[in-house]
Amino acid sequence: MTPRQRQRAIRGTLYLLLAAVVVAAILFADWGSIQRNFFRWDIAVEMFPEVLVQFALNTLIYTLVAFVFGLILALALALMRLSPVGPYRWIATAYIELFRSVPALVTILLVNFGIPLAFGRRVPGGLLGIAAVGLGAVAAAYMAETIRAGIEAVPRGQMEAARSLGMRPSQAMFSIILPQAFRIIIPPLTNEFVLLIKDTSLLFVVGTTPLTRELTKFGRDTMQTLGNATPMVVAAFIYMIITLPLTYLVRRLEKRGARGR
Amino acid sequence: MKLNRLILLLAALSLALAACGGGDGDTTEATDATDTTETTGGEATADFETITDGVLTVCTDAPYPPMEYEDPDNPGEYTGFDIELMRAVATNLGLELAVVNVGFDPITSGLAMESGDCDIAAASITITPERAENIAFTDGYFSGDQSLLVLADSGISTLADLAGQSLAVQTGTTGEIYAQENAPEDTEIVSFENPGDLFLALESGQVQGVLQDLVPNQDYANSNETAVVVETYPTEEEYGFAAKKEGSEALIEAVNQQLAALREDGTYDQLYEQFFPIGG
Amino acid sequence: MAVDLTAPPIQIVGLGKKFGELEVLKGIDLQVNAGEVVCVIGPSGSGKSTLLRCVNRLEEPTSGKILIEGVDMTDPDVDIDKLRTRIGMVFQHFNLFPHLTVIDNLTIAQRKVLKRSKQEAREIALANLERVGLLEKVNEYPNRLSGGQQQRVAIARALSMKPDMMLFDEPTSALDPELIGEVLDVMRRLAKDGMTMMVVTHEMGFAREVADRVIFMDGGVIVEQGPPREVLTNPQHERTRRFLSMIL
Repeated sequence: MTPRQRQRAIRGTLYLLLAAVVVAAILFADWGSIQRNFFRWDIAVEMFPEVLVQFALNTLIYTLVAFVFGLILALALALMRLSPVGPYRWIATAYIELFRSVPALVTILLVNFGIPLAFGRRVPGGLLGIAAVGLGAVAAAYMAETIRAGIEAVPRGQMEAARSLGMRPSQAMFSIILPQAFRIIIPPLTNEFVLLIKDTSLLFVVGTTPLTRELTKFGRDTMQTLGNATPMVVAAFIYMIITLPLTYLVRRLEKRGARGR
Repeated sequence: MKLNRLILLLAALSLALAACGGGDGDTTEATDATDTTETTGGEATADFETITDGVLTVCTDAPYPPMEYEDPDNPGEYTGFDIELMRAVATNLGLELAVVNVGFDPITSGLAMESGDCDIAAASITITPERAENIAFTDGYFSGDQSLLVLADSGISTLADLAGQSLAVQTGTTGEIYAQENAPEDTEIVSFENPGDLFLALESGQVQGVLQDLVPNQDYANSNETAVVVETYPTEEEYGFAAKKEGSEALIEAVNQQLAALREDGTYDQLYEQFFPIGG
Repeated sequence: MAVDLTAPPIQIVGLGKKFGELEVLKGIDLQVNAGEVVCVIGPSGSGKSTLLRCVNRLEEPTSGKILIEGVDMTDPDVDIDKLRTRIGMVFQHFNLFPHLTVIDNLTIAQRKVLKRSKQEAREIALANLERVGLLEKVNEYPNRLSGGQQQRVAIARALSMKPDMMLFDEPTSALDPELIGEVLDVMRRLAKDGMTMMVVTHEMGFAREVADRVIFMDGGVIVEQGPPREVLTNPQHERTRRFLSMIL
C-alpha cells in the first residue's frame, strides 16, 4: 500500500470509529430519561427571571469584589517580589506559594471560620466580605505572578530612560512601567477573571441565605427541591453565556498584543 | 498490515459498544455472610437485590453525632444510633453493612440511591410528604424534635430573642423550614450544607443560634460547655430510612419487618440507651 | 546639594567597574569641560558604554569618583534623581515611552520631576521639537515614527529638561543608514549651540567634524586622547591604529 493510500485508510478508519461511537451513543442512550431529568422546559422557564437578576447577578458581584480586592493585593505582592528589600521579597513569595498550594475551598473556610476563632473578629460584609477576602486572597496569589512577569517583560530601557530623566523609582514604576505592563497582562488577567467566576461556586460552604446565594447554589437547591437536574443544566448554560464572550475576548486581546504596538 | 489491525480494532470496539448498551454489566463479588446472631426476627436474605451481593450499602450524612459519625475506635468505620440500628437490621437479614458518606442533599433528592451509590439511606431523615415524592420511606423509627442551641453566655433564651440576629440551619432540613416559619421576621437565616459547620458558625460568632434536631444539638451541648440548648420544639416528625422511589418495595418491606422485630426483642431499647443515655 | 557651575561638568577620577569577576573599567581619569564635545571610540567590549552609563550612575561604579558640576555623584547620600536632571541621556534604542504621545513623552518628566506647569512644559517641549525638526509629529505615538524620527524625539525629550550636558550612547547604531544623517545633523547643531556633550559612537566622520576631543578606549582603559586631527589621522598607539584601520 502506498503511503498516501495508507493515510487515507487511517483517516477513513478514524472517521468510521467516530461514527460508530456517535451512533452507539445515540442508540443506547435513554433519551426519554435524559429529557425528563435534564431538559424540562417548564422547570427551566420557572427559574427566570430570578436566576438571572438575582443569582447570576450575585455570582458577578462576588466575582467583581474578589477580582478587585485580589488585583490590588496582587499589585502590592508583585512590587514586593521585585523589591530590593529582602524581607518584603520573602513575605511575598511565601504568601504566593501558600495560597497557590492550598485549595481555594480550604482558604474560604479558614477565612470564614478560622479568623474569627483565632482573632475574635469576623471579616465584615457577610458573604460579600468572604468573597472579597477569601477568594480575593487566592486570586491575588495567582495574579501576583502574572503582574510580576508583566513588569519584567517591560524592556529595561524604559526604566533607564525614566530614571535618566530624573524620575524617582516610584514615579517611574507608576507612570511608565505599570501602564506598559498592564497592556501585556490584560489577557491573562481576563483569564483569571473567568476562573474566578467559576470559583464563586465554592462560596456556599460558608453558609448562605436565600438571597445571597450564587448561581450554582441556587441551581443545586432548586434541583434538590424539585428532584430534577434541569436547574443545573440551566445554571451551566448561564455560566457559559457569561464566560464564553470573555474567553473570546481574551483570545482577541492576545492576538492584538502579539501583533505588537 | 496497519489497516487490517485498525479494522480489527474497529470491529472489536463496535461489538463492545453493542454489548455494553444492552446489559448492566455489573460484576459483584460474592461476600460470605458472616454468622449472624439468631434473633426471633432472623431471616435469610429476602427477595430484594442489593448493589453488592451479601452487603447492605447504606448512605449517610456524617458527622452528625450521635446518629452517624466516624467511630473513634475504628477509624474509617462509622457508628451512631442510625448506623447501629441499620447494622442490626442488616445482620438479621443475613447481610453485612457498608456505609458511604454522601451528604444530605443526594439522599433527600434520591439521587444517591437512584445512581447506585447505596441501597438505603440512614441519615436522620425526617419523613415529610415533599420528600416522599422523591424517595420511599420505611416506617418511622425515631421521634425528631427541633431545638435551639446558643452560646451559654449569650443571654439568648428563646427563638424570639434572635430578632435582628443570625440563625444557622442545615440546607434542606425540616429545621430550615421550622426556622423560616417561626423565627422573627428580621432574623437572618443562614443555611449550611455540612452539619458540622453549624457549630463552627456558632462558636465563631457568625450566627447566634443553631436550629436543628434536638439530638445533635443536645449531643454538642453535652460535650461543649460553651453551648446550651435553650428551647425544644416538639414536632410530630419522625425519622425514616429511605430508598429509591421505584423498585425498592421489597427492601422497604424487609426493613420494616426488622424494625418491628428489633423493637420487640429489646435491641432497639438497648441501642437507644447506648446513644441517648439519660442525664447525659 | 549645590552644584558648582564653575566646576567642570564631568570629572571622572580613578573610575573602576567590575561585573562580578570581570573588570570592565580599570581606572579611568577623565574631565569634560563646559561646551566641550568629547567622542569616545573603541572596539566592542572596551568599556566605553559602561563608562558613559557610569556618568549618570545607570551603572554603579565599583571604585573611584565621579563629580558632576562639582557634586560627588558616587556619594550614597546624594540625591541622584535631582542630579540626573542636569544630565540628558540619549540611548541606542531610543527608549521612548510607547504608551505616551510625543508631546507627553516630552512633558511628563518636566511636570513630574521639575514641577513645571502644564503650559510651561508644553512650550518648552514644542520649542525643542522644532529644534529637532519634528514639530508636526507632536501628537503622534512613537510607533508611528521612523527610527531616525524617534531618536530625534528622544533628543528633544532630554533637551526639554534643560540639562547642562548630554550623554549619547551610540545614538545612531540602531538606525538604518539613510536615517543616520538626520540625527547627526541635530547633534551637530547642538554642539554648535555650545552644549557639553559626551558621545560614544562609531561615526568617525561626525567625530572628526564635530568633536573637540576624541578618546580611544580599549580593554577598560583610555589608550589615547586628543583632538580628532591627531587621534584619527595620526594616532600614536598601535592599538589605535589597528582599530582605525578596521573601521576606516
